[in-house]
Amino acid sequence: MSDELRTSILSIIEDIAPDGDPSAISGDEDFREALGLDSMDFLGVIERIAEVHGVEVPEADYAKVNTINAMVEYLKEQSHRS
Amino acid sequence: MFEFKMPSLGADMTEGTLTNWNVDVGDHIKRGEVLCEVETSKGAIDVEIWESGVVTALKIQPGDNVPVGETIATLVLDGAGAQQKPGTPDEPESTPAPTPAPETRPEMEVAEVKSDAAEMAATAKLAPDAEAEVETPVEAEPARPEAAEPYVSGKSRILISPAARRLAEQRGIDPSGIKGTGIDGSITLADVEGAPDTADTHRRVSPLAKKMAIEHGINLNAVEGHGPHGAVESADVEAFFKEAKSIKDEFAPERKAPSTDFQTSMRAAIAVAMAKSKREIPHYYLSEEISMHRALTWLEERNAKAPVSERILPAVLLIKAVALSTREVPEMNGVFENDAFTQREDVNPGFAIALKGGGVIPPALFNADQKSLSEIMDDLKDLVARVRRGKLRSSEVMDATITITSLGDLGVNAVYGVIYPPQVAIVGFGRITERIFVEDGMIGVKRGLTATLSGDHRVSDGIAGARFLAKIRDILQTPETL
Repeated sequence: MSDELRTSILSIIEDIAPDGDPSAISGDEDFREALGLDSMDFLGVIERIAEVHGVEVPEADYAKVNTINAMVEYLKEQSHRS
Repeated sequence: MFEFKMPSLGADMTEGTLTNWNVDVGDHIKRGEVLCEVETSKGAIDVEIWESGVVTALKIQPGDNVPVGETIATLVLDGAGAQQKPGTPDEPESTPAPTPAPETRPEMEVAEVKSDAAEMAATAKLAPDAEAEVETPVEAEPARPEAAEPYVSGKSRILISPAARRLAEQRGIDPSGIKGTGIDGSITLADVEGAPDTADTHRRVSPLAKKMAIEHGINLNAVEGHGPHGAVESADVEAFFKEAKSIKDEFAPERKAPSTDFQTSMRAAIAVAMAKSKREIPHYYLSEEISMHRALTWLEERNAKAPVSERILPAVLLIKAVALSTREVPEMNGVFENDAFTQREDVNPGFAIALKGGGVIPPALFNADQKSLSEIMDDLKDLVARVRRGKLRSSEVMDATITITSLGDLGVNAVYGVIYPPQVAIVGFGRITERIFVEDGMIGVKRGLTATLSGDHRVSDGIAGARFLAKIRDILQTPETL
């Protein structure tokens, strides 16, 4: 389940940021920095995640989803809640 | 009969390749609609027409590559309706006049570091005494229309690297007599090393002939002398030049720019534009610290109450603040062409967008002063997506009236942009950080940024620039008015 989620997140990020390979970066790296995503790109990722996984990450929680691992955890937690 | 010509969509653009017609013969097209699609160094551009009428002929086919300025379609215009685009009285038939150096919308480079590099390239070529080691920029010179001749022209200087020039001097060889094998015929070190010791010393060349040869970039070895004892005189050089030019003109349409790929040509376009800007526009620079506390607090509250799809980025606040401020200081919004400033009623900020893989392009967001923040955000999202796909409209590429560059995401404190000709101002926004602000005698730490203005001193002065930045600052203190 967590693997599917991770794969989905990776593919979303890859779509939005065509440069660089998200699967090549470590799960604990700040993926924004590692892949050179600007604020528009990051918003695109958040939007797509909301569309695909039904979870809207508020701006106040952006710092909690700055790595892929953190993002996976956050989404898991949110889905358990709803 | 109205002739629609291949437009210039960038300073480096000498020719374009048609990829698609959007109309057929007999179709009626309205001004602002897309007539065709053209492939350029910026990607595929939807070319809009600024007249309304019926298409009578399509002169070229998809896949055809034609020089800028060549007629590609003819139309019969609608009755009395054919107006020129407002605010652009210098554009005949609503397409930019295809002068030998079509430089309407060159690429924009906004980071200070990069503009220095381009500036080095420019000054190296223009300052005969430039000492900078510029071997690389010389070879990176893009093929501009005036440089279609193999050697650089008009600057009393032959395209030669400093190292090569020094060797030539040492060896007592006249560089104008050496054939260059570098890019655009530039003379490389290897060329000088391989040149014969006594280059044509048995053949007299008149000083005037020599001067003309340098000016036209002509290799004297190739010129036949008809003076006494076969001496080369100015008339000979003139005749040679005319003949060479006519041959070049005949074959020019086939000669493609040497750029090998999209990135190279993009980089070349940026270099040309930035060099032109620094050469011709007397820049002045101002900066202002702006507290973003109120604006960001307001935005965060607003975003928290809205769904993700309606979230607005801080950059949008900046864009609108700039757009509104031009109403107070209109000398910031317009174009300087043919020695005159034309103020523009429409406010179309070009917003610098970085391309993945390098390069920056500032396409226009139209009428930002009149749109709501949501509308600007939607426009911006759409623009960024199309920039990345390489799918812009010609008006977006050519019609910005002022440019905004926001490098905050990258983490620089301030950016002093290079004005993007023919515009007359560029506003830069740096990173939002916590800073110390003093208000009512109290020290506080608030989020803020450094805003800068680079202005064209032919059109405005520091006082106007200061008013402009102050207005932007003030507007950002009352975000609810945006």
